[in-house]
Amino acid sequence: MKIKPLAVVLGIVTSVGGYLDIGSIMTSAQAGAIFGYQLLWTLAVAAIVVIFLVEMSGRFAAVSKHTIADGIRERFGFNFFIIPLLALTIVNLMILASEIGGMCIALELATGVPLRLWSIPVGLFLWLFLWKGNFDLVENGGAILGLVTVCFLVGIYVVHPSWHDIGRSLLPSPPVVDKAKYWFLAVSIMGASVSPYLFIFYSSGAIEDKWKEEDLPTNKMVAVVGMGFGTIIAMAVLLLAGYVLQPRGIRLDHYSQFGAMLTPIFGHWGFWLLAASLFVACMGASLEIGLELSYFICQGFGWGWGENKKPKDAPRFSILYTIAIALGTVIILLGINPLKLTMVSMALVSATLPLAVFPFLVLMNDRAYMGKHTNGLISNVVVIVAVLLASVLSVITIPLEFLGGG
Amino acid sequence: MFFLAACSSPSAQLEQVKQTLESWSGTIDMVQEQWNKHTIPHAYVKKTLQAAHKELKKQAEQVRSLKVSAGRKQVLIEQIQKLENKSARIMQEADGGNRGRQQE
Repeated sequence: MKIKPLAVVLGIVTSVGGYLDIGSIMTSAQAGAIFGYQLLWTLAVAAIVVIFLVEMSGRFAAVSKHTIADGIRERFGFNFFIIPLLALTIVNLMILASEIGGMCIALELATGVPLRLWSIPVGLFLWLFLWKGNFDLVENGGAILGLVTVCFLVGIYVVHPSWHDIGRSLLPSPPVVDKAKYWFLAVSIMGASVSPYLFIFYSSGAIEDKWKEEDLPTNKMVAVVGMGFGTIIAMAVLLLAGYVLQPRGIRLDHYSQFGAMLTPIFGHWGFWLLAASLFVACMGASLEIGLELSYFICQGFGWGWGENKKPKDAPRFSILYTIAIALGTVIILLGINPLKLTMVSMALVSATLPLAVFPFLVLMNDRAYMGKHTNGLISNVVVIVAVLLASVLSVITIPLEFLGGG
Repeated sequence: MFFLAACSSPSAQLEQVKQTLESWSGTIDMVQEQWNKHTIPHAYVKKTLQAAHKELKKQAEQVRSLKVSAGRKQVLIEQIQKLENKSARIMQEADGGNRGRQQE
Protein backbone atom coordinates (compact mmCIF):
# COMPACT_ATOMS: atom_id res chain seq x y z
CA MET A 1 0.00 0.00 0.00
CA LYS A 2 1.35 3.39 -1.03
CA ILE A 3 0.86 6.90 0.23
CA LYS A 4 -0.75 9.21 -2.36
CA PRO A 5 1.22 12.47 -2.07
CA LEU A 6 -1.45 14.71 -3.63
CA ALA A 7 -4.19 13.27 -1.42
CA VAL A 8 -1.94 13.68 1.62
CA VAL A 9 -1.16 17.33 0.83
CA LEU A 10 -4.82 18.11 0.17
CA GLY A 11 -5.87 16.26 3.30
CA ILE A 12 -3.33 18.11 5.40
CA VAL A 13 -4.32 21.48 3.95
CA THR A 14 -7.99 20.79 4.68
CA SER A 15 -7.20 19.55 8.18
CA VAL A 16 -5.04 22.56 9.00
CA GLY A 17 -7.38 25.09 7.39
CA GLY A 18 -10.45 23.42 8.84
CA TYR A 19 -9.16 22.70 12.34
CA LEU A 20 -9.94 25.98 14.03
CA ASP A 21 -13.51 26.93 14.86
CA ILE A 22 -15.13 29.20 17.39
CA GLY A 23 -14.70 26.55 20.08
CA SER A 24 -10.98 26.05 19.63
CA ILE A 25 -10.32 29.78 19.11
CA MET A 26 -12.31 31.01 22.11
CA THR A 27 -11.39 28.26 24.57
CA SER A 28 -7.69 28.60 23.69
CA ALA A 29 -7.82 32.39 23.79
CA GLN A 30 -9.63 32.46 27.13
CA ALA A 31 -7.24 29.88 28.57
CA GLY A 32 -4.27 32.00 27.48
CA ALA A 33 -5.86 35.22 28.70
CA ILE A 34 -6.56 33.88 32.19
CA PHE A 35 -3.81 31.32 32.80
CA GLY A 36 -1.06 32.34 30.40
CA TYR A 37 0.61 29.29 28.90
CA GLN A 38 -0.36 27.00 31.79
CA LEU A 39 -3.16 25.13 29.95
CA LEU A 40 -1.08 24.36 26.86
CA TRP A 41 -0.84 20.73 27.94
CA THR A 42 -4.59 20.21 27.43
CA LEU A 43 -4.19 20.98 23.73
CA ALA A 44 -1.36 18.45 23.53
CA VAL A 45 -3.52 15.77 25.19
CA ALA A 46 -6.50 16.67 22.99
CA ALA A 47 -4.27 16.42 19.91
CA ILE A 48 -3.29 12.84 20.74
CA VAL A 49 -6.93 11.84 21.26
CA VAL A 50 -8.18 13.60 18.13
CA ILE A 51 -5.41 12.05 16.00
CA PHE A 52 -6.42 8.59 17.21
CA LEU A 53 -10.14 9.24 16.65
CA VAL A 54 -9.78 10.80 13.22
CA GLU A 55 -7.47 8.01 12.08
CA MET A 56 -9.97 5.45 13.41
CA SER A 57 -12.94 7.09 11.69
CA GLY A 58 -11.14 7.14 8.33
CA ARG A 59 -10.01 3.53 8.83
CA PHE A 60 -13.53 2.46 9.79
CA ALA A 61 -15.02 4.01 6.66
CA ALA A 62 -12.31 2.66 4.34
CA VAL A 63 -12.39 -0.90 5.69
CA SER A 64 -16.03 -1.48 6.68
CA LYS A 65 -17.58 0.82 4.03
CA HIS A 66 -19.95 1.95 6.78
CA THR A 67 -20.40 5.39 8.23
CA ILE A 68 -20.21 5.61 12.03
CA ALA A 69 -23.96 6.19 12.38
CA ASP A 70 -24.70 3.21 10.13
CA GLY A 71 -22.38 1.05 12.17
CA ILE A 72 -23.79 2.05 15.56
CA ARG A 73 -27.39 1.50 14.45
CA GLU A 74 -26.60 -1.85 12.83
CA ARG A 75 -24.45 -3.15 15.69
CA PHE A 76 -26.47 -1.92 18.70
CA GLY A 77 -29.98 -1.60 17.27
CA PHE A 78 -32.10 1.44 16.63
CA ASN A 79 -33.27 1.83 20.26
CA PHE A 80 -29.69 2.29 21.43
CA PHE A 81 -28.80 4.52 18.49
CA ILE A 82 -31.43 7.05 19.62
CA ILE A 83 -29.27 7.93 22.68
CA PRO A 84 -26.15 9.20 20.86
CA LEU A 85 -28.39 10.59 18.13
CA LEU A 86 -30.30 12.82 20.57
CA ALA A 87 -27.23 13.84 22.55
CA LEU A 88 -25.16 14.68 19.47
CA THR A 89 -28.01 16.47 17.72
CA ILE A 90 -28.65 18.77 20.69
CA VAL A 91 -24.97 19.50 21.36
CA ASN A 92 -24.16 19.96 17.68
CA LEU A 93 -27.06 22.35 17.22
CA MET A 94 -25.61 24.41 20.08
CA ILE A 95 -22.19 24.31 18.40
CA LEU A 96 -23.70 25.26 15.04
CA ALA A 97 -25.39 28.26 16.66
CA SER A 98 -22.03 29.17 18.26
CA GLU A 99 -20.28 28.97 14.88
CA ILE A 100 -22.93 31.12 13.22
CA GLY A 101 -22.49 33.49 16.17
CA GLY A 102 -18.73 33.44 15.53
CA MET A 103 -19.22 34.54 11.92
CA CYS A 104 -21.55 37.29 13.15
CA ILE A 105 -18.99 38.39 15.78
CA ALA A 106 -16.35 38.69 13.05
CA LEU A 107 -18.71 40.79 10.96
CA GLU A 108 -19.62 42.96 13.95
CA LEU A 109 -15.93 43.51 14.72
CA ALA A 110 -15.28 44.51 11.11
CA THR A 111 -18.31 46.71 10.54
CA GLY A 112 -19.72 47.73 13.93
CA VAL A 113 -23.16 46.45 12.83
CA PRO A 114 -24.66 44.40 15.74
CA LEU A 115 -24.13 40.67 15.40
CA ARG A 116 -27.83 39.85 15.65
CA LEU A 117 -28.44 41.77 12.44
CA TRP A 118 -25.89 39.59 10.68
CA SER A 119 -27.48 36.30 11.72
CA ILE A 120 -30.02 36.08 8.86
CA PRO A 121 -27.61 37.03 6.04
CA VAL A 122 -25.05 34.59 7.49
CA GLY A 123 -27.66 31.82 7.77
CA LEU A 124 -28.76 32.38 4.17
CA PHE A 125 -25.17 32.42 2.95
CA LEU A 126 -24.43 29.09 4.67
CA TRP A 127 -27.62 27.51 3.38
CA LEU A 128 -26.93 28.64 -0.19
CA PHE A 129 -23.36 27.31 0.04
CA LEU A 130 -24.65 23.86 1.03
CA TRP A 131 -27.63 23.90 -1.34
CA LYS A 132 -25.64 24.88 -4.43
CA GLY A 133 -22.24 23.42 -3.52
CA ASN A 134 -20.82 19.91 -3.40
CA PHE A 135 -18.67 18.04 -0.90
CA ASP A 136 -15.34 19.13 -2.41
CA LEU A 137 -16.37 22.77 -2.32
CA VAL A 138 -17.39 22.52 1.33
CA GLU A 139 -14.32 20.53 2.37
CA ASN A 140 -11.63 22.23 0.30
CA GLY A 141 -13.09 25.70 -0.26
CA GLY A 142 -13.66 26.43 3.42
CA ALA A 143 -10.38 24.85 4.44
CA ILE A 144 -8.22 26.67 1.89
CA LEU A 145 -9.71 29.99 3.00
CA GLY A 146 -9.08 28.77 6.55
CA LEU A 147 -5.35 28.88 5.92
CA VAL A 148 -5.58 32.55 6.92
CA THR A 149 -5.53 31.18 10.49
CA VAL A 150 -1.84 30.44 9.94
CA CYS A 151 -1.42 34.12 10.90
CA PHE A 152 -1.51 32.96 14.54
CA LEU A 153 1.61 30.90 13.88
CA VAL A 154 3.28 33.86 12.19
CA GLY A 155 2.39 35.86 15.30
CA ILE A 156 4.32 33.38 17.43
CA TYR A 157 7.31 33.75 15.12
CA VAL A 158 7.12 37.53 15.55
CA VAL A 159 6.80 37.64 19.34
CA HIS A 160 9.37 34.91 20.13
CA PRO A 161 7.82 33.54 23.34
CA SER A 162 10.11 31.76 25.77
CA TRP A 163 10.53 28.17 24.54
CA HIS A 164 11.47 27.15 28.06
CA ASP A 165 8.09 28.38 29.36
CA ILE A 166 6.28 26.69 26.48
CA GLY A 167 8.08 23.40 27.13
CA ARG A 168 7.21 23.58 30.82
CA SER A 169 3.54 24.25 30.00
CA LEU A 170 3.31 21.03 28.04
CA LEU A 171 3.42 19.21 31.37
CA PRO A 172 0.24 19.43 33.46
CA SER A 173 0.54 21.66 36.51
CA PRO A 174 -2.10 22.39 39.14
CA PRO A 175 -3.71 25.84 39.23
CA VAL A 176 -2.84 28.18 42.08
CA VAL A 177 -6.00 30.30 41.80
CA ASP A 178 -9.31 29.97 39.96
CA LYS A 179 -9.28 26.17 40.20
CA ALA A 180 -12.84 25.72 38.94
CA LYS A 181 -12.20 27.97 35.94
CA TYR A 182 -8.96 26.14 35.19
CA TRP A 183 -10.60 22.73 34.99
CA PHE A 184 -13.65 24.11 33.22
CA LEU A 185 -11.37 25.52 30.53
CA ALA A 186 -9.38 22.28 30.39
CA VAL A 187 -12.51 20.27 29.59
CA SER A 188 -13.80 22.95 27.23
CA ILE A 189 -10.53 22.80 25.28
CA MET A 190 -10.88 19.04 25.17
CA GLY A 191 -14.48 19.35 23.93
CA ALA A 192 -13.48 21.90 21.31
CA SER A 193 -10.71 19.69 19.95
CA VAL A 194 -12.32 16.25 20.23
CA SER A 195 -15.72 17.27 18.96
CA PRO A 196 -17.55 14.21 17.56
CA TYR A 197 -18.72 16.26 14.59
CA LEU A 198 -15.12 16.28 13.40
CA PHE A 199 -14.71 12.53 13.11
CA ILE A 200 -18.30 11.85 12.00
CA PHE A 201 -17.78 14.40 9.21
CA TYR A 202 -14.39 12.89 8.37
CA SER A 203 -15.80 9.38 8.15
CA SER A 204 -18.76 10.52 6.03
CA GLY A 205 -16.30 12.34 3.78
CA ALA A 206 -14.30 9.15 3.40
CA ILE A 207 -17.46 7.36 2.22
CA GLU A 208 -18.34 10.26 -0.12
CA ASP A 209 -14.81 10.03 -1.55
CA LYS A 210 -15.09 6.21 -1.79
CA TRP A 211 -11.99 5.38 0.26
CA LYS A 212 -10.60 1.84 0.09
CA GLU A 213 -8.12 -0.15 2.17
CA GLU A 214 -5.25 1.16 0.06
CA ASP A 215 -6.08 4.64 1.33
CA LEU A 216 -5.20 3.66 4.92
CA PRO A 217 -1.59 4.98 4.87
CA THR A 218 -2.84 8.28 3.42
CA ASN A 219 -5.51 8.38 6.12
CA LYS A 220 -2.92 7.84 8.83
CA MET A 221 -0.65 10.55 7.46
CA VAL A 222 -3.48 13.08 7.13
CA ALA A 223 -4.72 12.34 10.66
CA VAL A 224 -1.29 12.72 12.26
CA VAL A 225 0.12 15.64 10.29
CA GLY A 226 -3.15 17.50 9.63
CA MET A 227 -4.52 17.29 13.17
CA GLY A 228 -1.03 17.87 14.55
CA PHE A 229 -0.61 21.12 12.60
CA GLY A 230 -4.18 22.13 13.44
CA THR A 231 -3.38 21.71 17.12
CA ILE A 232 -0.23 23.80 16.72
CA ILE A 233 -2.37 26.67 15.38
CA ALA A 234 -4.74 26.34 18.35
CA MET A 235 -1.66 26.39 20.61
CA ALA A 236 -0.54 29.58 18.86
CA VAL A 237 -3.89 31.20 19.72
CA LEU A 238 -3.41 30.27 23.37
CA LEU A 239 0.18 31.50 23.44
CA LEU A 240 -0.68 34.82 21.79
CA ALA A 241 -3.55 35.38 24.22
CA GLY A 242 -1.10 34.59 27.02
CA TYR A 243 1.40 37.02 25.56
CA VAL A 244 -0.96 39.90 24.72
CA LEU A 245 -4.02 39.67 26.96
CA GLN A 246 -2.86 38.08 30.21
CA PRO A 247 -0.31 40.79 31.16
CA ARG A 248 -3.09 43.37 30.69
CA GLY A 249 -5.48 41.39 32.92
CA ILE A 250 -7.98 40.96 30.06
CA ARG A 251 -9.95 37.79 30.75
CA LEU A 252 -12.13 37.65 27.61
CA ASP A 253 -15.43 38.00 29.44
CA HIS A 254 -16.85 39.53 26.26
CA TYR A 255 -16.07 38.81 22.61
CA SER A 256 -15.23 42.45 21.88
CA GLN A 257 -12.16 42.10 24.15
CA PHE A 258 -10.78 39.62 21.63
CA GLY A 259 -10.84 41.98 18.62
CA ALA A 260 -7.54 43.74 19.23
CA MET A 261 -5.55 40.65 20.24
CA LEU A 262 -3.30 40.67 17.17
CA THR A 263 -2.89 44.43 16.75
CA PRO A 264 0.08 44.77 19.16
CA ILE A 265 1.83 42.21 16.91
CA PHE A 266 0.71 43.03 13.36
CA GLY A 267 -0.54 46.59 13.81
CA HIS A 268 -3.47 47.61 11.59
CA TRP A 269 -3.37 44.26 9.73
CA GLY A 270 -3.75 42.36 12.98
CA PHE A 271 -7.29 43.58 13.43
CA TRP A 272 -8.41 42.48 9.97
CA LEU A 273 -6.50 39.21 10.10
CA LEU A 274 -8.22 38.30 13.35
CA ALA A 275 -11.69 39.16 12.02
CA ALA A 276 -10.99 37.22 8.79
CA SER A 277 -9.61 34.22 10.71
CA LEU A 278 -12.64 34.09 12.97
CA PHE A 279 -15.03 34.43 10.03
CA VAL A 280 -13.54 31.74 7.80
CA ALA A 281 -12.82 29.34 10.67
CA CYS A 282 -16.45 29.56 11.82
CA MET A 283 -17.74 29.40 8.25
CA GLY A 284 -15.88 26.15 7.56
CA ALA A 285 -17.07 24.66 10.85
CA SER A 286 -20.70 25.79 10.29
CA LEU A 287 -20.76 24.07 6.92
CA GLU A 288 -19.26 20.91 8.36
CA ILE A 289 -21.63 20.79 11.33
CA GLY A 290 -24.66 21.53 9.15
CA LEU A 291 -23.69 18.57 7.00
CA GLU A 292 -22.73 16.40 9.95
CA LEU A 293 -26.14 16.84 11.56
CA SER A 294 -27.79 15.73 8.30
CA TYR A 295 -25.32 12.90 7.81
CA PHE A 296 -25.83 11.45 11.27
CA ILE A 297 -29.63 11.56 11.17
CA CYS A 298 -29.97 10.30 7.58
CA GLN A 299 -27.40 7.56 8.07
CA GLY A 300 -29.03 6.54 11.34
CA PHE A 301 -32.50 6.32 9.80
CA GLY A 302 -31.24 4.77 6.58
CA TRP A 303 -32.35 7.72 4.41
CA GLY A 304 -30.57 8.84 1.26
CA TRP A 305 -27.72 11.24 1.93
CA GLY A 306 -24.78 12.94 0.26
CA GLU A 307 -23.61 16.47 -0.39
CA ASN A 308 -22.60 15.38 -3.88
CA LYS A 309 -26.26 14.63 -4.68
CA LYS A 310 -28.63 17.32 -5.91
CA PRO A 311 -31.14 18.43 -3.22
CA LYS A 312 -33.99 16.81 -5.17
CA ASP A 313 -32.14 13.46 -5.10
CA ALA A 314 -31.62 13.56 -1.31
CA PRO A 315 -34.54 15.72 -0.13
CA ARG A 316 -34.51 14.67 3.55
CA PHE A 317 -30.78 15.30 3.75
CA SER A 318 -31.15 18.80 2.30
CA ILE A 319 -34.17 19.63 4.47
CA LEU A 320 -32.31 18.54 7.60
CA TYR A 321 -29.36 20.91 7.09
CA THR A 322 -31.82 23.63 6.13
CA ILE A 323 -33.62 23.16 9.47
CA ALA A 324 -30.32 22.98 11.38
CA ILE A 325 -29.04 26.24 9.90
CA ALA A 326 -32.40 27.92 10.46
CA LEU A 327 -32.40 26.86 14.15
CA GLY A 328 -28.81 28.01 14.64
CA THR A 329 -29.66 31.34 13.07
CA VAL A 330 -32.73 31.81 15.28
CA ILE A 331 -30.69 31.10 18.43
CA ILE A 332 -28.32 33.98 17.55
CA LEU A 333 -31.19 36.19 16.41
CA LEU A 334 -32.78 35.73 19.85
CA GLY A 335 -29.76 37.46 21.37
CA ILE A 336 -28.02 34.55 23.09
CA ASN A 337 -24.38 35.49 23.74
CA PRO A 338 -22.27 33.40 21.31
CA LEU A 339 -19.22 33.43 23.58
CA LYS A 340 -21.12 32.02 26.57
CA LEU A 341 -22.93 29.55 24.32
CA THR A 342 -19.56 28.41 22.95
CA MET A 343 -17.98 27.85 26.35
CA VAL A 344 -20.99 25.88 27.67
CA SER A 345 -21.32 23.88 24.42
CA MET A 346 -17.67 22.85 24.51
CA ALA A 347 -17.92 21.66 28.11
CA LEU A 348 -21.11 19.75 27.18
CA VAL A 349 -19.28 18.11 24.28
CA SER A 350 -16.78 16.73 26.79
CA ALA A 351 -19.58 15.55 29.07
CA THR A 352 -21.32 13.69 26.23
CA LEU A 353 -18.17 12.34 24.54
CA PRO A 354 -18.57 8.77 25.90
CA LEU A 355 -22.01 8.50 24.24
CA ALA A 356 -20.46 8.90 20.80
CA VAL A 357 -16.98 7.54 21.35
CA PHE A 358 -17.57 4.31 23.29
CA PRO A 359 -20.00 2.70 20.81
CA PHE A 360 -17.58 3.70 18.07
CA LEU A 361 -14.72 2.02 19.94
CA VAL A 362 -16.76 -1.19 20.14
CA LEU A 363 -17.13 -1.07 16.34
CA MET A 364 -13.41 -0.43 15.94
CA ASN A 365 -12.69 -3.63 17.88
CA ASP A 366 -15.26 -5.77 16.07
CA ARG A 367 -13.67 -8.09 13.50
CA ALA A 368 -16.97 -8.38 11.66
CA TYR A 369 -16.52 -4.75 10.62
CA MET A 370 -12.78 -4.22 10.73
CA GLY A 371 -11.30 -7.63 9.82
CA LYS A 372 -7.56 -7.47 10.50
CA HIS A 373 -7.70 -3.67 10.96
CA THR A 374 -9.15 -3.62 14.48
CA ASN A 375 -7.74 -1.20 17.08
CA GLY A 376 -4.57 -1.87 18.99
CA LEU A 377 -4.34 -1.79 22.78
CA ILE A 378 -2.67 1.63 22.96
CA SER A 379 -5.28 3.47 20.90
CA ASN A 380 -8.10 1.89 22.92
CA VAL A 381 -6.55 2.75 26.28
CA VAL A 382 -5.56 6.32 25.32
CA VAL A 383 -9.00 7.18 23.99
CA ILE A 384 -10.95 5.49 26.83
CA VAL A 385 -8.89 7.12 29.60
CA ALA A 386 -8.93 10.61 28.04
CA VAL A 387 -12.63 10.55 27.19
CA LEU A 388 -13.63 9.22 30.62
CA LEU A 389 -11.49 11.81 32.41
CA ALA A 390 -12.84 14.66 30.28
CA SER A 391 -16.40 13.52 30.82
CA VAL A 392 -16.13 13.14 34.59
CA LEU A 393 -14.27 16.45 34.93
CA SER A 394 -16.86 18.28 32.89
CA VAL A 395 -19.72 16.92 35.00
CA ILE A 396 -17.91 18.29 38.07
CA THR A 397 -16.70 21.58 36.64
CA ILE A 398 -19.78 22.81 34.76
CA PRO A 399 -21.76 23.47 38.01
CA LEU A 400 -18.60 24.78 39.74
CA GLU A 401 -18.02 27.28 36.93
CA PHE A 402 -21.45 28.74 37.52
CA LEU A 403 -20.98 28.68 41.28
CA GLY A 404 -17.86 30.78 40.78
CA GLY A 405 -16.07 28.41 43.13
CA GLY A 406 -12.44 27.67 43.21
CA MET B 1 -27.12 27.62 36.41
CA PHE B 2 -28.07 31.16 37.33
CA PHE B 3 -29.45 29.89 40.62
CA LEU B 4 -26.08 28.29 41.30
CA ALA B 5 -24.29 31.52 40.43
CA ALA B 6 -26.43 33.41 42.94
CA CYS B 7 -25.47 30.90 45.64
CA SER B 8 -21.71 31.63 45.62
CA SER B 9 -20.21 33.24 48.75
CA PRO B 10 -19.90 37.07 49.11
CA SER B 11 -16.10 36.84 49.06
CA ALA B 12 -16.18 34.80 45.85
CA GLN B 13 -18.59 37.32 44.33
CA LEU B 14 -16.33 40.19 45.43
CA GLU B 15 -13.32 38.48 43.87
CA GLN B 16 -15.26 37.98 40.64
CA VAL B 17 -16.19 41.68 40.53
CA LYS B 18 -12.55 42.67 41.07
CA GLN B 19 -11.40 40.36 38.27
CA THR B 20 -14.06 41.71 35.92
CA LEU B 21 -13.07 45.31 36.67
CA GLU B 22 -9.42 44.52 36.11
CA SER B 23 -10.30 42.85 32.84
CA TRP B 24 -12.31 45.84 31.57
CA SER B 25 -9.70 48.29 32.81
CA GLY B 26 -7.11 46.41 30.72
CA THR B 27 -9.48 46.42 27.76
CA ILE B 28 -10.13 50.17 27.96
CA ASP B 29 -6.38 50.84 28.19
CA MET B 30 -5.69 48.60 25.22
CA VAL B 31 -8.42 50.24 23.14
CA GLN B 32 -6.94 53.66 23.92
CA GLU B 33 -3.42 52.50 23.14
CA GLN B 34 -4.38 50.84 19.84
CA TRP B 35 -6.64 53.72 18.79
CA ASN B 36 -3.74 56.09 19.29
CA LYS B 37 -1.56 53.83 17.15
CA HIS B 38 -4.15 53.81 14.33
CA THR B 39 -4.45 50.02 14.45
CA ILE B 40 -8.18 49.64 15.20
CA PRO B 41 -11.19 51.17 13.43
CA HIS B 42 -13.60 53.63 15.03
CA ALA B 43 -16.52 51.16 14.83
CA TYR B 44 -14.59 48.68 16.96
CA VAL B 45 -13.63 51.31 19.53
CA LYS B 46 -17.25 52.35 19.84
CA LYS B 47 -18.59 48.79 20.17
CA THR B 48 -15.99 47.79 22.74
CA LEU B 49 -16.51 50.86 24.88
CA GLN B 50 -20.28 50.36 24.70
CA ALA B 51 -19.77 46.78 25.89
CA ALA B 52 -17.52 48.11 28.68
CA HIS B 53 -20.17 50.64 29.73
CA LYS B 54 -22.85 47.93 29.86
CA GLU B 55 -20.65 45.59 31.86
CA LEU B 56 -19.51 48.30 34.29
CA LYS B 57 -23.14 49.22 34.93
CA LYS B 58 -23.90 45.58 35.65
CA GLN B 59 -20.92 45.35 38.01
CA ALA B 60 -22.05 48.48 39.88
CA GLU B 61 -25.43 46.86 40.52
CA GLN B 62 -23.69 43.66 41.59
CA VAL B 63 -21.48 45.59 44.04
CA ARG B 64 -24.51 47.32 45.59
CA SER B 65 -26.16 43.97 46.21
CA LEU B 66 -23.04 42.38 47.77
CA LYS B 67 -23.16 41.50 51.45
CA VAL B 68 -19.83 43.14 52.32
CA SER B 69 -18.90 46.26 54.31
CA ALA B 70 -19.95 49.69 52.99
CA GLY B 71 -16.29 50.77 52.83
CA ARG B 72 -15.33 47.93 50.50
CA LYS B 73 -18.33 48.65 48.33
CA GLN B 74 -17.39 52.33 48.12
CA VAL B 75 -13.87 51.54 46.91
CA LEU B 76 -15.26 49.41 44.09
CA ILE B 77 -17.96 51.93 43.14
CA GLU B 78 -15.29 54.65 42.87
CA GLN B 79 -13.15 52.37 40.72
CA ILE B 80 -16.12 51.70 38.44
CA GLN B 81 -16.84 55.43 38.20
CA LYS B 82 -13.23 56.16 37.21
CA LEU B 83 -13.37 53.51 34.49
CA GLU B 84 -16.71 54.88 33.26
CA ASN B 85 -15.25 58.38 33.01
CA LYS B 86 -12.15 57.19 31.21
CA SER B 87 -14.19 55.14 28.77
CA ALA B 88 -16.52 58.10 28.08
CA ARG B 89 -13.52 60.36 27.43
CA ILE B 90 -11.94 57.91 24.97
CA MET B 91 -15.28 57.53 23.21
CA GLN B 92 -15.52 61.31 22.89
CA GLU B 93 -12.00 61.50 21.48
CA ALA B 94 -12.68 58.68 19.03
CA ASP B 95 -15.94 60.28 17.90
CA GLY B 96 -14.04 63.51 17.31
CA GLY B 97 -11.33 61.63 15.40
CA ASN B 98 -8.68 62.66 17.96
CA ARG B 99 -5.72 60.41 18.60
CA GLY B 100 -2.48 60.58 20.44
CA ARG B 101 -3.59 61.41 23.99
CA GLN B 102 -1.33 59.82 26.59
CA GLN B 103 -2.65 56.97 28.72
CA GLU B 104 -3.22 57.70 32.37
